[in-house]
Amino acid sequence: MALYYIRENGTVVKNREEDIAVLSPSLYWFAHADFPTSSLAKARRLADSFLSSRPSSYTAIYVEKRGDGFDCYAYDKERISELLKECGCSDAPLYFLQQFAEQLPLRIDDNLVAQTLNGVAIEVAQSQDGLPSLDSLDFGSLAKPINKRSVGISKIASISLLVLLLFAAAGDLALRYQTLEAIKEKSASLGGGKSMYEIKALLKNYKKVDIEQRRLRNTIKKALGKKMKMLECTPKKGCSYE
Amino acid sequence: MSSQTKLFAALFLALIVVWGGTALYLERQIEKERIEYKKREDAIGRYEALKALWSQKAQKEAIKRVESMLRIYGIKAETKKTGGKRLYSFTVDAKRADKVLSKILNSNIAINSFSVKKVSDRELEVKIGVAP
Repeated sequence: MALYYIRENGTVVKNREEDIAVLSPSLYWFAHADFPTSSLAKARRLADSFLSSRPSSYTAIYVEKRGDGFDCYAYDKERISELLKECGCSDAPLYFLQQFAEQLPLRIDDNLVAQTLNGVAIEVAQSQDGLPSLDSLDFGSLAKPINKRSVGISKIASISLLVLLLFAAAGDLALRYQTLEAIKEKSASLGGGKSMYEIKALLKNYKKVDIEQRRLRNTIKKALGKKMKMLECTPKKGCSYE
Repeated sequence: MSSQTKLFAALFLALIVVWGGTALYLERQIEKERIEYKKREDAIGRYEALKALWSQKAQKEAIKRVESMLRIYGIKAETKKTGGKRLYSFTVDAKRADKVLSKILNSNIAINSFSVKKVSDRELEVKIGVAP
């Protein structure tokens, strides 16, 4: 595991717990811009024309918000991929030296120093002592490496998904509500519009008659099976015979 | 995670919670209404079955059937009407008595009073009170 400082004229490698790569200013084009927008996507489109003086091979654009403006970078993606492959750190998080401008100056190797000039990170060949080394860089303060996308989805995709979900929810709930209303309607039409209370009251009356008549008939049938002179039966008193 | 992503995530979550909650509520209401419907259907089914036996209309028809049955057996029944009640009195041959009485008892006339008296060894006097 190491810290790779990627340069056109040879990569500087420093021991580190995890793999991290930093691009030398010689490998990218940088400019800070104040675009009349706060949208990163719009700024990315504007940066393409804003960095028009860059070398023609620097086709890849990277933009990040800084203060009220945007830091715009252009670089040759293929060349950088080659250099990363050469040092065997293709999967390492990648940063521009410019992103550490606040931590400069520092010593890259014995003859090279990274410092800022009007806020822009540059490399200067000098053997000045007393500067912190490259491996003292603090990566924790940076938002994200340029080769790792942040976790999240685009605004349009999110809105589309939200609208889709809203329609699905509305459709589903409408169907459920319709089912509920249909059952209610069907239930109300049963029994010629009589309420459940009325039906229960009528049912109770008929049940009473039914039970009374069945009981009377059973008693009469049993009594008729016996030898007798006279038999008298009523639903309330039952049967009496001689 | 950006604030925009957090906002959308919160909206998604809120929408799913509202959707799920409402769907659950509606599902419970549907289940409740289904149970009520089943109960109502059962009660109406039982009510209709009993109504077909004991309603005034059904009683009038049952009385007609019993009267025509008595005519078929050549039995002349005397009818007395008192306050909406009818009392049928007739004499029946002892040999036929079982058949005639079982037909009356198996019909759905609402018997209000029933009496059988042995007039002689060959005849029985039957009085049936009916309340339609």
